[in-house]
Amino acid sequence: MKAVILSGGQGTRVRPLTYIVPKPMIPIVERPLISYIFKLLKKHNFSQVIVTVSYKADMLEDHYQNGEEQGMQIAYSLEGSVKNGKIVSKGLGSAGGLKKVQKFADFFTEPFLVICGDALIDLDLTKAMEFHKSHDGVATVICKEVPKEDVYKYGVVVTSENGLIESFQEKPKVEDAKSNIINTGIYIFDPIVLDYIPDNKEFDIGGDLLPLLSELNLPYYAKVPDFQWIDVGSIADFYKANMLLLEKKIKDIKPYGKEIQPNVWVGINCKIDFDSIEIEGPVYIGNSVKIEDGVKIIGPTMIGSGCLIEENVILNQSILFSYTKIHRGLKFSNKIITSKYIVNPDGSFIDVDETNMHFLVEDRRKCYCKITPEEIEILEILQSIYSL
Amino acid sequence: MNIIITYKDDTAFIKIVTERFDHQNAKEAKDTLFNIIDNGIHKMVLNLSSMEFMDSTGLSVIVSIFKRISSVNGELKLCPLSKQPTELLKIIQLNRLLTFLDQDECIVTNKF
Repeated sequence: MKAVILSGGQGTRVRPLTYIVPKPMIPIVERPLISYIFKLLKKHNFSQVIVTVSYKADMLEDHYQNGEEQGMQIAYSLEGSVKNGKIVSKGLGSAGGLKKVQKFADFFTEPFLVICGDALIDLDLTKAMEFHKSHDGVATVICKEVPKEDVYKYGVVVTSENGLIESFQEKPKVEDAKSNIINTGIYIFDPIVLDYIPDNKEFDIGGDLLPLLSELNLPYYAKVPDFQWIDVGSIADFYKANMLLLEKKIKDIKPYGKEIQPNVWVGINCKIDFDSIEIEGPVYIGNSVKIEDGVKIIGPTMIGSGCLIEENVILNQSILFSYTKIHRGLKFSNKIITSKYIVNPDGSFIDVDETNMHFLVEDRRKCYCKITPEEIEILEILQSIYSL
Repeated sequence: MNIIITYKDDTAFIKIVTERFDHQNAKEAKDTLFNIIDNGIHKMVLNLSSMEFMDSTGLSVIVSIFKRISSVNGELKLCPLSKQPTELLKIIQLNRLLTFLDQDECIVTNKF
């Protein structure tokens, strides 16, 4: 079976992390988000996958290449062009992206799946495909029931009794919403629908294509399965997804590595004296991590591979990207920390390079050996705050 | 950078006007502020609201002044800061140590 993963977005709501990696490659406990989607596709026998890419496309393509390691064939469709060695994005919209693929070599010859690259899901795709083949419609929209008070965030779907979709409401007010069934952005299409998408024009599936199908009296149906759908559209979502995974609250997915004690996973080649540190799980520690004595880690916390946590650091419910070094004695709560940014779950952040705060966090591989007297003064005052 | 100093009773009201507070101007500001303390003024209201950006050297000036004033049992108050400096102080929890005036109080002090 064939599928398309839509990953052409800029990921502006996941900045500053998307300054480092493209959104589909944002790590959820050390695995790129899109890897979870490839895994799901593989499980349900999708063997040919096209990923629409744009921003930082090279990183994604270099990582997954032709898909051999994912056990499938993966191709890429760039939404943009290369100018002076850099990718200049040209958004085509979700439907425009599909049209571009089809125009190139008529890839879609049978009903195909369209899925976004930015959610953790455990949907039974086999059943969804079977449902699509069982009805006379040209499309199936995978929907989800949400609490009524959340409808304002989504595209609401209004259906007749047999699941035929009658209309949409884009982010309605709670009191105006005609249902609490929302569009998850996962679709199955018959190739015929591609004929209705204009060439070289920004065209959206939810906003343009589906209303057009309605106008043309081409039926399409909603499928409302019970499944887990964790959207990773913002920094808050990203933080939450990591926490949920560590807490084993995401079905079928566990942190990778050896569980050395309940809810503590540790990779290989680590330098940690577990008798000299304090750990309250769930905590994930990647490979080649060094943790010095007196450190306290309170979960859910995830420490990426290659990190260096100096003595007496306290980490509480935080996420550390790989190769982050934390200066001794510092205390961080509810933070996402990379060697370049310190980020709050609400998305506010400081740029470590710009503010010259390398004496707090740094890339472990860099040698930042010299700490100025002014920086020592700041570190001392921070210590006095912690004891308040 | 422009430093405007006014005195009322035993308090110095200091407005440092600069968009960026970094290694380019931190030392000059620090010297000026230390001079005031050395001249026996131990109560200070610092208005740094014009700063759009502060780096670690700017931050270290605030820390030094705070420590110096604390050591003579003085009093340091700050006017509200703009977004980036606020974030910088908050993310390392330094805001917990400092005393901030609210906007209204600050407007009153600026009249002196």
